[in-house]
Amino acid sequence: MRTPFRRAPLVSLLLLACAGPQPAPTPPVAAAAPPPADAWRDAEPAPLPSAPPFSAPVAVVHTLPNRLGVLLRENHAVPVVVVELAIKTGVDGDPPGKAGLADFLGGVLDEGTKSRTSDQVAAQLEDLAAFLSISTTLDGVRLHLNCLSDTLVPALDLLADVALNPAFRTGDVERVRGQILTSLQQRRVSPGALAGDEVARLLYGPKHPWGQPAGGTPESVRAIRRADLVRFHDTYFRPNNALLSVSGDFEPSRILPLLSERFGAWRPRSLPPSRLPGFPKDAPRTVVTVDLPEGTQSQLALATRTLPATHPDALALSTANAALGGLFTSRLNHQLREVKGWTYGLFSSVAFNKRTGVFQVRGSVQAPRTVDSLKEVEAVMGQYATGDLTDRELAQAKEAILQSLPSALETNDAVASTFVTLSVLGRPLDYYATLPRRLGALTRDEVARVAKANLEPGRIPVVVVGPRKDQEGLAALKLGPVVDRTAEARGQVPPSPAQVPAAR
Amino acid sequence: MRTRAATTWLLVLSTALAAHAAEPSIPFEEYTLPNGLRVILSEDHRAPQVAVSVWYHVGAANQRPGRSGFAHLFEHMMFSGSQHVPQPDQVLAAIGAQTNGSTNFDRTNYFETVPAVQLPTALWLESDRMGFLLPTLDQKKLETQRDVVSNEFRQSYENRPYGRAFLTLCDTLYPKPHPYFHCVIGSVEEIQAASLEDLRGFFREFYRPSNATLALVGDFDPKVARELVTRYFGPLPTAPVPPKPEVPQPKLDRVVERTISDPLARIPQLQMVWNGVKPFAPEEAAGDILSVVLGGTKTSRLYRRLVLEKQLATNVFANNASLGLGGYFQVVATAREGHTVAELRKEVEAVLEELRRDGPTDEEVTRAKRNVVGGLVRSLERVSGKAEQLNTYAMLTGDPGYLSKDIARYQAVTRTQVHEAAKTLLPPDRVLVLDTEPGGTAPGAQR
Repeated sequence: MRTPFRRAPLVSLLLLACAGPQPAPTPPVAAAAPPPADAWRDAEPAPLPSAPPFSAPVAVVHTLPNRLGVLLRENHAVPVVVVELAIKTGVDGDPPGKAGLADFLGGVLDEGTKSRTSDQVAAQLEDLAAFLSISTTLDGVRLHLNCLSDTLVPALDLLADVALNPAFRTGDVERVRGQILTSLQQRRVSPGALAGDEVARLLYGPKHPWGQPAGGTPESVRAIRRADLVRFHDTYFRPNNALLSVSGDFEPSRILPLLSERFGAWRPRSLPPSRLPGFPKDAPRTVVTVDLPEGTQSQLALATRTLPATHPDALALSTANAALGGLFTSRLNHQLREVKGWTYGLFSSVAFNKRTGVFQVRGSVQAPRTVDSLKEVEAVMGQYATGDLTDRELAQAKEAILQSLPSALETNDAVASTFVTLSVLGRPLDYYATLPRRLGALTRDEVARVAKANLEPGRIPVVVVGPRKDQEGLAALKLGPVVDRTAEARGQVPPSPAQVPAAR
Repeated sequence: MRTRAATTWLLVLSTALAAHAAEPSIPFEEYTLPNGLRVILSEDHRAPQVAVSVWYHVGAANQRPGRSGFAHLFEHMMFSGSQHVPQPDQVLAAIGAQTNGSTNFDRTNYFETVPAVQLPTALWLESDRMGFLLPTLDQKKLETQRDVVSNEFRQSYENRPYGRAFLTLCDTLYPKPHPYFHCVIGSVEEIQAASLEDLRGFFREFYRPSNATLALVGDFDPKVARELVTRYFGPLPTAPVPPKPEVPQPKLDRVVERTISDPLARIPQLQMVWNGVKPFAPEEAAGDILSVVLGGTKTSRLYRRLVLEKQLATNVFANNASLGLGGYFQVVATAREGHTVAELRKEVEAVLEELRRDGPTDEEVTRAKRNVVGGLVRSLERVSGKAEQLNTYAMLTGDPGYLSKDIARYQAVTRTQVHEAAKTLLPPDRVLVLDTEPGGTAPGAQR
């Protein structure tokens, strides 16, 4: 196993949701002749004659009698089948005072079923060379299975058992609780995690489940009872609140019966009405700081809610973002990294969940350059929001989005997950198949208009996590009032009453 | 030139996981240009894209004393423009390429996945930085990238929990003047001391066609690809293959204990590290299986004991890192809140002692083999993954098509060999013990 050091941080995809020894002897430098005259190399070569265009896979939809939606895509290129079972409630199902419940559930779900211990689940998966991962998101819990096609039947048995019959044995629950509490401790000194929690609070508000620290707080995690896990599972793990997405080497005539045998008897039940608080209204811009005296870099973030996935301008916004900060060559990274040399990488993103879109700028900069960097980000964004997008930038942004598709949809893992994401976001299932046409139709004026309307920095809150001594001068930037959240973010004060669960 | 018989890798997976692996391989053809560039072509027509990957057989191993981080800094310069392609990032962005580069202890690679019709542009660009980097290299480009790499050091090591432990591992196992000192990333002081002359010398020494391999995997016509490769890379001048670095591996001769005070860690972490092997050394495959049996999965010995039973740790893993100048084998365990490194160490040592005494079970070895082979084969689902695998085998074994032999190598590992590996690779009296403790300012206390 070898550790690579990449030249650039990996930029997220644009669209898919987002002593002793002697030193080495000096070899003689060969006296190579200078290369011949190569004027012909000056011109970039023409592309080859056109090849057939990429056609993105589109799911075939079925619905089982219990209202479980099934999305299928056959792909016999490799003897692998991926099955993703998605529950369409995640962190949004956390009750007040129980922040972290959905994450807790995701952590404990594969730790034992009514007929299998935690160790048996793990051993049986390993014996099949199958992988099962469970992830909790703001709007879902996803059980993602990757197995070889000739072990699909036993692997599906395991997936169904884990999803439908979790045991939540006390020993397993308490063990997982201890692991979560430990990781929450570590999050309080992790610059990226601290910034992420402050961003969530600004985006969704302190009363919304999405505005809570990721994974909850030590207090809320301690307050979670086994009964809460059982209730969450019983309430939201219902076929009418789930999707099965399958991509790979399966027999088309066999797949629906196989799925029906395992998920057909799963009983639907209507979900309780949502009582989520609304998102906070647009407030005057603030600059939230968290002091991390131990740090040598500052983690910067600017974040705001933006257009939802289904908005007619959503694609133009993603395209506008690519030119601003979505690519290695885009304005933010170019200026902050290649011109100024203050960061290893600084990027922006547009991501979507089922209720809203989120625009965000993130980067880690030299601590002594904290204020300078913010000023520069502000200048780059302010300029961009005048609508001065160039034709060249637009062309690059479009190509980046378009040409990333074959690679982004190369594996069965990616395809199965993408189907789920499209469905959760309310986008059409042929979204990527029609993307080239829609992208081609976008004009510079349209993208510039959307950039002006949505990417003006003046109203976007700022988060700075780093040494306070390097934050002097922040107020003088006049971005907005500076709010110090060090004590709360780093867990030095008792939680506010809203976070303390009622005794039960 | 030779062309390999091609079963597709589809077959690989099913046979690999059955006990009776036949002869799976990635279909490819290879040849060498007169100037020494080795070219590997593998067609894959699933989608209209081509993965282009250039490997230079130079890494931290080739650095001189006092020049830690140099190979990686140099990698950054390869993106700063060459004589005929002054702005490679712009060129690649304009065609929608996905691109990056990476440096490790022993090699440096540059890769991009491009639309199939843009193969000429990718080859034009890669050949230009292979042949024509120096004319446009200047002080300003160097200064910018020295700063960028220094930022990378801070972001990825200094400003990241547990980032410092890895630097201590390198510095203890590979003391100065070993070229692995301070790992691949190097020290900020030495990175900042790099000069333009250093860069020029490094390029002339190592960036030669004869010290590189070029792999193309994807949707191309091999006849067209060959013509393009000849056009762009053929005229580059010939130079001999640079000598391989030969530095003896410093060996631990006792138990070495180091404590690291990490201001960004809140939870103690234990690392136990032994001298390791070189890639494809006779003990490597058994060592890899051993690492899985020990700490690779949820049924591994350390996970079962430390995480499930004793509940002292939240996380454990084991890693058999094989490196060109001698690798390392590490076991890492992160404590659960309220537990100490001393407790972790006692339990890890007990597990190791049992394994040295009794060896693994047949079931453990079989399961670990499936895990290793499955991971190997799954990495080939992407064209970019295949290109990296072909280049890996070409560099380390001389045979890009080594996959089938590699799978056979793992399938042939016996319980006895893994037992032997536990005794020889993990001696209790020659080990580095790293204890990372939360350090520096008490969190939040400073006002």
